[in-house]
Amino acid sequence: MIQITNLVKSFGNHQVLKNLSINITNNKSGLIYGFLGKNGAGKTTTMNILVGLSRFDSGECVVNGTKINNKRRTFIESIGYLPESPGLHNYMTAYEYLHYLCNLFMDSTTASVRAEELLDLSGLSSSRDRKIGGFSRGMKQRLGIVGTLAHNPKLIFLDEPTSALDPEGRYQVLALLEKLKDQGKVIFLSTHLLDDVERICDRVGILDDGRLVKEGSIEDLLNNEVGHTYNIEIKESNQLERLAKEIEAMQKTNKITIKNSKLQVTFNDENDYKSLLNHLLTNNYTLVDFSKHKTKLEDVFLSIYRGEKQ
Amino acid sequence: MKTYLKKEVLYGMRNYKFLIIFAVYIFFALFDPLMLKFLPIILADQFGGMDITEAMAIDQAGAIQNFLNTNYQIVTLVIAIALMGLVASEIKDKEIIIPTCLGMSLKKWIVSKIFVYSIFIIASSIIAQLICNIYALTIFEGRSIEISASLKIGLLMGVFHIFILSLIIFFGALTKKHGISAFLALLAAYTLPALTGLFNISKYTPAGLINEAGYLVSYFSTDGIISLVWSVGAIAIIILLSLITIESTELV
Repeated sequence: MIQITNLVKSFGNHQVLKNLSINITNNKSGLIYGFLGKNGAGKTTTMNILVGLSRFDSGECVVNGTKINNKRRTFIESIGYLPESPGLHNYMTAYEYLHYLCNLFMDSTTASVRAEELLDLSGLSSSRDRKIGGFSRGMKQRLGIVGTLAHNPKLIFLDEPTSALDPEGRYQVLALLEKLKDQGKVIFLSTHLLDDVERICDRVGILDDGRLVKEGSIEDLLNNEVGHTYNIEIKESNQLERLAKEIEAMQKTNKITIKNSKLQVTFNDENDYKSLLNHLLTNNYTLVDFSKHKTKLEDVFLSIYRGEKQ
Repeated sequence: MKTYLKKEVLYGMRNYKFLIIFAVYIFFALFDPLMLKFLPIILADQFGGMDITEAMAIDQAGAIQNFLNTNYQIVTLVIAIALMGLVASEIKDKEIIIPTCLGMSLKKWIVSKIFVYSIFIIASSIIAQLICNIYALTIFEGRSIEISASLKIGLLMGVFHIFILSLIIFFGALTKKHGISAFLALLAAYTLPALTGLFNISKYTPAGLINEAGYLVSYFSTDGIISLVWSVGAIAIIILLSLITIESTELV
């Protein structure tokens, strides 16, 4: 579906993408692929190249079987693209806009039917005759998303679709994306909102400094990437430093931190917590809390990013 | 192509582009004759009671000549400002990304703009000249300029403004900046008559259209025909360059 091999793109002397390689295949009916990275990592640049709108220096990109030309714009059939902060024709009504998009490649009568279908899908039917200029950001995003679906593409690229939206707007956009996934669409979603990714994505790729530094399913990343972390609180809070040294001496942990009179201990092996628990009990520490820390994608992201920098 | 044209008409109507340009044309078509009518009264005090009607033409021809100057100076400016975002803003505001990914033809997109606004400009220019002619006839005694002459003047000034429109579209596609595209088009509009006059080549450029219009006659001189042919050729070349440019312009 998407194959990127050794992609290089520079703006002047600044190399944004450095031999980026990604391979996304999909055997399932629907998929949401989260493309993560901090600002300036190269997410938007990658997307612009993948949809055939931007040139690149070297490498190879194949999207939906179409090889992208690195010298001129390439039209790829059956993809849709919603850029970050897309301009919609604010002087049109929602219906007129969708009809215009559909009418670009189908006759007017069929376009009318398709426009109504898309309005239904976006949940904007009640605002069909309102000018887009008067829409909220969330409504515009939903309209933009369904606009990209006018020709019923299999693959959709969305660049930061939930950024700058209020919680209600975000919820509605995410619900729409889940609906599209259920319809069998493959969504390539660029974002830095990790909560959104954790909620709706099946797989993620993390981009840093123009390279893909991690790729996998959300489940795998959450379970395997940052180890198994436990929060420990003892009544003898003045002995936390001593306890930390004792745990370190056990040589089963890869990270120990003290924060707000609590210890956070990360094990490589899931079962190593048992020996720690045993140590605490045999040394007469009074346990106030001993709980498994729920790993979030943010932990994975920070762990990978900091690891890369060390 | 019908979809592209409908979209441009809607854009022009809903963003008041048609209204603004047409209103400016008509306003000066009525204002210039009226100003000329009252000019002797306005200037009487400043010239110590001297009759300035002996120094300048205060008649229908003078009114049409005045409107011609305004048309070149002010209407050109208004057209450039009103239409400067026609291509540049749509690219800059990423309005063409979604349609382009759906297979929109950028060539048709450019051609539809030229087509819609050219027809509108030609129609407005001719209507304004006719209004100016008829109105001037009602407030000044005696006809000196035929209706057919005003039709010709309207056509020539319309073609000159289409030349400006083509420059705005070309520079918009090239720079993706609406302010720069308007500035460059206006620079060409205002310096062309002086520069080409310097080398005596006005008739081979759109500046010759203004010269020809200034004769206020219904027939075309040889130089006028040459200017018209060269101007239409120049517009065609600029449109062609715009089509080539837009295909290589990065839209993101």
